[in-house]
Amino acid sequence: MRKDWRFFDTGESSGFFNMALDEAIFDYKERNPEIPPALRVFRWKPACLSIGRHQRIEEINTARCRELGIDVVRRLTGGTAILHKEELTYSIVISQDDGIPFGIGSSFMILNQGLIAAYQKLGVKIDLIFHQERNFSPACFVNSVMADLSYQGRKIIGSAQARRGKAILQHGVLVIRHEPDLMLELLNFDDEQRQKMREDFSKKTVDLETIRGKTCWQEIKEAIVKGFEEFFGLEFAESGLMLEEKIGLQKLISHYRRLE
Amino acid sequence: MYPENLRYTKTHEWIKTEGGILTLGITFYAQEHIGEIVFAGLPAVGAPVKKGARLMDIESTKAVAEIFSPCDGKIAAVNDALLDQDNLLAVNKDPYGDGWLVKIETENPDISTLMDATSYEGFIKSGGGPS
Repeated sequence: MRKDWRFFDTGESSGFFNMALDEAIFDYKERNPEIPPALRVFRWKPACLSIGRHQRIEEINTARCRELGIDVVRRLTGGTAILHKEELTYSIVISQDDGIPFGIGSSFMILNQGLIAAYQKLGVKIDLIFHQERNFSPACFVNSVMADLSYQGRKIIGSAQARRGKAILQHGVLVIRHEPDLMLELLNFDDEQRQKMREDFSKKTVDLETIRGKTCWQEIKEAIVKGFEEFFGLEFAESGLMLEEKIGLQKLISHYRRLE
Repeated sequence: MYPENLRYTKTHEWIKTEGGILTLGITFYAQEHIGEIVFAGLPAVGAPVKKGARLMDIESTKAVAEIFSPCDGKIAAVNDALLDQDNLLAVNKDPYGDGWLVKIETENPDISTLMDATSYEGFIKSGGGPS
């Protein structure tokens, strides 16, 4: 795999900014596969519910989100809803020209080794998930699919990919603390679904705080950088955005503000 | 696995031409690597399409893959059956038959520059990434 990567910590931003920037970097890489791959870490302010590219908006209690000041944004990637609050999000933009295979499973398996190495730095041993569920909940974290990562059988990192030509975008959430009660308020569940999701959250998922106590995002950031550097032998360059990425970002923000 | 009567793109779509209509789907190789399809984001019938521009996307359990148009034209038909979740597996199980995606009406239906089955098989054996 290519060794020279760009690294960005873009801090706290709105969900619209974050998703627009992921797409701007992804789009630029698709048109310019020769530029180095990028690893970005970021946080969300205000808290935000990101929903899957094709998820039905009827599954989301948008009125409650508004009341609580929680943004709702549609991701470029698939899957179902994720609450971004107490966490750090990562995104990787890379091209098949950089030495990543075409297969979704094999590319996840390679990139996730960096995440496994990062969590080792935090003292948390995690594993790839190989089984696949077929009935998907509107809440992403209670679904476990190929290439998610687990801690003692419970999902700890969920990631998703988008493909555009040779370019791959993979992003995912490194959860410090789940808030299942808040999450339940933001989705349009009936009572039976609500009960099942509450049970699923406690049985099927786990977060860093439960495993290792108080954890701050800076520790996770440091672990991610070191994990990727050491496992893949990367050399990160702290980087600014390319001019075209900035232009793309500005164009895309208004698109992400429109929730359709 | 790769029918002789079809042509193939480097981004793993198959194309068939009948008169001025191109039919497009994804190849066996593509479906195998993308995984089980859970949603097809089909374009609207009548929508104009541009060669090289995004045409539609398909979502598997872990990835969304975008599909690009091989020609200028407009959407003549889409595989409506795929709007029913139960039928989506056709894209995996029968990619050249019930799993077709769209038909495009075009004034330039020449697909002779695309790969034939033998060339496509050679292409995927040599690495298979788009170039």
